[in-house]
Amino acid sequence: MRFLLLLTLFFVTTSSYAHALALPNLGEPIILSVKPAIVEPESDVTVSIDSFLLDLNKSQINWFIDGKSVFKNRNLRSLQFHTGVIGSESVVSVIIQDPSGVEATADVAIRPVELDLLWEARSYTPPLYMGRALPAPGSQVVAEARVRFVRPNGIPVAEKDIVYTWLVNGKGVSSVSGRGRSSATFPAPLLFGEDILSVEAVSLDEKFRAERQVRIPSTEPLVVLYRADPLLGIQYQHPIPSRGVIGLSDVTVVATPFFTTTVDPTNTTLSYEWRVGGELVDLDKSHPSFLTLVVPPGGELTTKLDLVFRNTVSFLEEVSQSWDLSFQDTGSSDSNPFFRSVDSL
Amino acid sequence: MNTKIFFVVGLMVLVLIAAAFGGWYFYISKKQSEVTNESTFRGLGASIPSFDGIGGSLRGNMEETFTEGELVTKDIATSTTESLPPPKLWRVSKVPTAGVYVVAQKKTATAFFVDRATGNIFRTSPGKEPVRVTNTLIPYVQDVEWFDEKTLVLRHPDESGLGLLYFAAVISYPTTTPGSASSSSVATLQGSYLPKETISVATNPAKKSPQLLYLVREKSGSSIGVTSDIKLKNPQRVWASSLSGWVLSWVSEKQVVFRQKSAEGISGSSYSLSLPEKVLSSLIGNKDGLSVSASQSGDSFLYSTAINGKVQLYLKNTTSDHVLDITTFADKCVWGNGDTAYCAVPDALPETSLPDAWYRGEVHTNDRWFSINGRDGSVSEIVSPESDFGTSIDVVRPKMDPTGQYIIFTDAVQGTGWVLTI
Repeated sequence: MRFLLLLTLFFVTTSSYAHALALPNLGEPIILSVKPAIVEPESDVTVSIDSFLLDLNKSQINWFIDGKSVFKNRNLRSLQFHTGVIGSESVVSVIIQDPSGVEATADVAIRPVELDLLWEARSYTPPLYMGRALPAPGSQVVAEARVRFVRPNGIPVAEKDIVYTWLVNGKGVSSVSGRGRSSATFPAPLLFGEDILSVEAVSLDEKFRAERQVRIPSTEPLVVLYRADPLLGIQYQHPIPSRGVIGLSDVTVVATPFFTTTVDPTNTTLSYEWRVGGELVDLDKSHPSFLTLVVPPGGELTTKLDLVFRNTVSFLEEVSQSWDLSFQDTGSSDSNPFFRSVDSL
Repeated sequence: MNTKIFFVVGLMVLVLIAAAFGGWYFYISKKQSEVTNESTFRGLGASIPSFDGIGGSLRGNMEETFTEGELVTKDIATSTTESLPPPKLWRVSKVPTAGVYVVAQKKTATAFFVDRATGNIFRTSPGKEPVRVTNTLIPYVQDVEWFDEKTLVLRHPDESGLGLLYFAAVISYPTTTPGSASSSSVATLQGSYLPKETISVATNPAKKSPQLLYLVREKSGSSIGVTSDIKLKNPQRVWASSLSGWVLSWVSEKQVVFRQKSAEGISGSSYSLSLPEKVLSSLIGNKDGLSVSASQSGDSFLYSTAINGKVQLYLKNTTSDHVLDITTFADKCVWGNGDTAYCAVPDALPETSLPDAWYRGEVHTNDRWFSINGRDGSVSEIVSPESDFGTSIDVVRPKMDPTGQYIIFTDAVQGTGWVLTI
C-alpha cells in the first residue's frame, strides 16, 4: 500500500431531492466509497455508490470526471479510472435520478499522495555492512514518515502543516505525535515479538490524508567470526563457519557483533569471553574482540573455540557461540557450495 | 695382548662415537625440519623483497606468496610491448584490490587499481606488468570510490580496526625538472580526511571537476548529506534524514539515488535527489528487501525484492513495472550509457536469509552476466565466467566506465578486480 487517498466528499442535493428526503436520522442520501483506500499516483481506483434512500436498481446513474460525462443514463454503480500524478486532482461526480424524478448528486475529489514509512534500529552493524540495522531487544527503533502532499498548483504542503499520529500496535503514542513530527523513536519489540508501527498524516486543512503501517520484528543479536588477515585486515567477506578450516598457519580472528544496542564496538560494556579447547583465554584488554590462534606444534589439529559475548548493561544481550576449527589444507573441505575458500587462506 | 685389547677398545669407542654422531644427525635433522616447517608457516625464510621489479616488487612478492592461479585471460601474453585490447573478461590483478578504474583508449585500456594491503596504486594494461603509480602506505584499504584516474576516496580502518576513515585523495605526480629522470618517479597520494563520522560517500560521475557527496552520522543517529569538492571546500548540505542506513549512488551529473539498507522481509524505500536544486522525489517505496540500480537517464531503474526466501528482479520505466526472467539482487546490476542494463545473475541462490547472509559473506554466488533491454525487459546472457573461462565470480560493486565500454567489478571471494568488455 502506498498512497493515500484524498478525501473530500461533498454531498450536494437538489432542492427537489432535499424536499422529498428531508427525513431525520437517515444519513447521507448517497454513500461514495473509493478503493483502494490509499490511492497511488497513476494507479487504478474504483469509486462506488450506495444508498439507503434511493432505489439504485431503478435509477439512472450518470458519472462525470472533472465535469466531463463518462457514463450517461446507465445503471453502473461503480466507476474505474486511472489517477493522475502527484499534485493532480480528479473530481468524480455522480448524478442519480430515481424513477420519481428525484435527483441526488455526490462528488469526491481524489488527490493521490505518497507516504513512505521508513525505519531502522539504533543497533550496531560493521561499517561496510550493506544490510539494515535490525532491532534487538533493548534497542531503539527510529521511524521517519516521508509524505508528499502536493496541491494542484504544484505547491507541496509544508512539513509544519501536517499533523502526524504515531501508533504502535494500534495504540496512539501521543508523546511523539503532533504537528510537524515526522519522525519518532520507539523501544524495540520484545524478544521474539513483533510490533506493527503505523503513522497517519493529515494536512491542517484536512484535504490530504495518508496512512501506512509496517511490521517490525524483533531480532536476536548475533556474533560473526571474521579472519583478521595480517596483510588485508578484517575480511568481512569471509566469516569462519561453525565448522571451519582455517589453514596451516596461525590466525587472528575477530568477533563481530550484529544488532547490539551499543553502537560503538569498542565500548567497554561489551564483554568477550573466549575459550580455546575449553581453556579460558587471557585477552588483550585493548582489543578483546580479537583472538590469535596459534597452530599447536605437533599437537591437535582441531580445536573447539567458544565465545560468550555480553553487553554488561543489557542482560538480554548475551550470545554464546562455538566453532570447531581445523588447521589443515583449505583446498578440501567445504561441503557448502555457496561458501568458497580464498586461495590465500 | 695389550695391543689387541687396546685395538678392540679403540674400535668400540669409534663405533660409539659414530653411532652418537649418527643419532645426533638424525635427531637434529628431524628437529631442523620441524623448525623449518614452522618458520615457513610464519613466513620466515621468504625471499626479501628487492623492490626492483617492473611494477614494484611488493606486488610481485604478494602474488608469489598468495596466488598460484593463472590468469583467466590466458589469451593474452604477459609482458608484451604491444597495445592489446582488453579481453572479454580481464582480471586486472591477482592480488586483492580495493577498487579499479579503467581509462578507455583507442586500441587498449588502462586500469588503475588500489592494492588492498598497502593502499598503493598500480597501473596496468592487458598483457602488461603492473606499474606502481603511488607508494603512499595506507594499510587495509577496504573500498575505493574513484572519480577519475587521478582522484579517489579510500576507505580504511581507524585505529581500533573496527571503524572506517574516508580519505579523499589526489594522485600527485612529481614535477618534471629538466635533466631529471622524473618520468619513472613514483607519485604520492595527497588529500584530506572526511569527518570521522562519515558513513558513506559517492562521487559525481559526470562533472568535470571532482565533486563528493558524503553522508555524516550525527550524534542523535540522524544523518546529513553534504556535497563538496575533493578538498572538502564549498560544503553544501543537500540531504537530511532521521535515519543513517542509506546507500548512495551518484548515477548522473545531477541525480543521486538514496536507498535504505535492505534486509529480507523488511520494508525499504529509495529516493532520487536532483542537484543542485535539492529536489527529492520517490523512486520506489515500501518494498521488502529492496535494492535499486538506476539508469543514468533517470527514466528507468531495476529493483529487487527479497521476502520469504524469494528474490525477484523488476524493471520499472515510464511505461511498465514488471518482473524479469532473471533472479538476482539489484546490487549486482549496473546501467550502460543508454537503455541497457547489465546484471550478474547467480546460477543458484542458497536457501537462507537473503540478501542478509550474502552481505555478511556467509554465502557466495557463482554469477553469469546478462544484458537487459531497459525498454521491454528482454534479457540475454553475455558471458559465463565459469563456462567460458573456468572461474567462479561473486560480483560485488559493479560500475560502468565513463565510456560505457567496460563493467568494472570485484569478486567478493578473492577480492580481485575485474573488467568485463561489453
